[in-house]
Amino acid sequence: MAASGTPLAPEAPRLHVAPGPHLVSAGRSTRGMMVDALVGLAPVLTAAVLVFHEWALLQLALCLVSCALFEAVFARLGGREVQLADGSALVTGAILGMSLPWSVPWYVAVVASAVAIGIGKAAYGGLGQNVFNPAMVGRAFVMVSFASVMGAASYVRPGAGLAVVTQATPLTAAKEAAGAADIPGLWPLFLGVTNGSLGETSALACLVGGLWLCWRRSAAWRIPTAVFAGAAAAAAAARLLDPSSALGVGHHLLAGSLAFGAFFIATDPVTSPLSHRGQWLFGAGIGVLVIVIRLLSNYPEGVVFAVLLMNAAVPLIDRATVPTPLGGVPPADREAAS
Amino acid sequence: MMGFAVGDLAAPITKGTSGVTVLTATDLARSRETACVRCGRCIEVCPMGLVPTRLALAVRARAWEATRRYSIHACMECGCCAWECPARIPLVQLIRVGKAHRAAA
Repeated sequence: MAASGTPLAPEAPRLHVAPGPHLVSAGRSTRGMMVDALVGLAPVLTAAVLVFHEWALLQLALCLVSCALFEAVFARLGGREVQLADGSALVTGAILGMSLPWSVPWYVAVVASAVAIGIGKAAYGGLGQNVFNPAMVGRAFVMVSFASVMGAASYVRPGAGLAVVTQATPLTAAKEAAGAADIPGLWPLFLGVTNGSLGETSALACLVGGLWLCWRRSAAWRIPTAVFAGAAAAAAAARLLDPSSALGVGHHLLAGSLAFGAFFIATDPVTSPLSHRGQWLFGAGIGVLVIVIRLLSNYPEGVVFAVLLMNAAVPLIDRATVPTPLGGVPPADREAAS
Repeated sequence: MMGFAVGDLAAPITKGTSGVTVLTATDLARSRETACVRCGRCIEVCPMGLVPTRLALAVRARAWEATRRYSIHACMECGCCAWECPARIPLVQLIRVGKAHRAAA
């Protein structure tokens, strides 16, 4: 229908024809979800700076810059387009920074970032392809490789000028029989005026930021709910089995990085299940594993490994929780029948 | 969102035509695709109870057996999944390719 321009036969418009839909809801983008995550972390960052002062800013800055740098480097090495603008490297950096102790040397933050981005993300093919939470991969790596500077003793340094670091972290105190008197009450644990990793101390800050994130639907609310429920159930069971233990259910829920992990680490969409049922299973698994690792292993805190273990189970959980199509045969029955 | 594309302005309007939509380049400007982050929104909105991200990425990977297992034939191409997708993945278009492959096979 090409026509030359005349008054009676105007130029045919150039039409680009494609199957619909052609428009996408403007309210959401991947970048928007990452920005939401950073905004949700703002209360946690604020609490960290209030408790740990300049140390919090130092570790955070190191991790943010390193993660962004390694994201660009590994994308270039892998022949992929560098997409720093999607913000995912910054979110990984912020979470990683908040999971470190205040006193770690600069190279720990840099190595953790390199491993988080390089092994935790780039080796799998970049954003969306990884199985394990990148920040947790980096954290686990430095936890094991630099055990002396990351261990319980590194949190405590009486002369550093910070009020909280004169005492062991609450979970470490619970681990050592002699430290039972050092366990803070529930209110200090909730507010965060205790020792610990940079972001884990204030359950209040995690709650505020995390609830906002769930309200924005950038985090699936079923996961933190399931984590707390699973942890509470396991802690209650442990308390029933051993009523003399130092930590009650409230302590377990408010101490350590359970709140931080529940709202910001476990909810990473890439490494958590797709379906609602799967999310309940995943969260409950993390909650139970955190308590098991805290009580039965040498580690005072179990969030890092609990998340990594459940990440490994996610492909299986996804496979087991495929939804049944409307009016259709459940996938498992279909596989058996075919 | 379920209308079909017309490539020729000579196509007639029938009494069943409820509307004609013409979009400009600016309307379509925000459709740059990024990686699927498995947010799960497509699954939440799918009225047929499917897993659109699995289907679309399986089609891209030419994993035809996976598309059969995840019931690609049940998709009614309503477009709700693609509307919700934050990563702007062309889910409906990819699922259509997968269905065409099944029809041709």
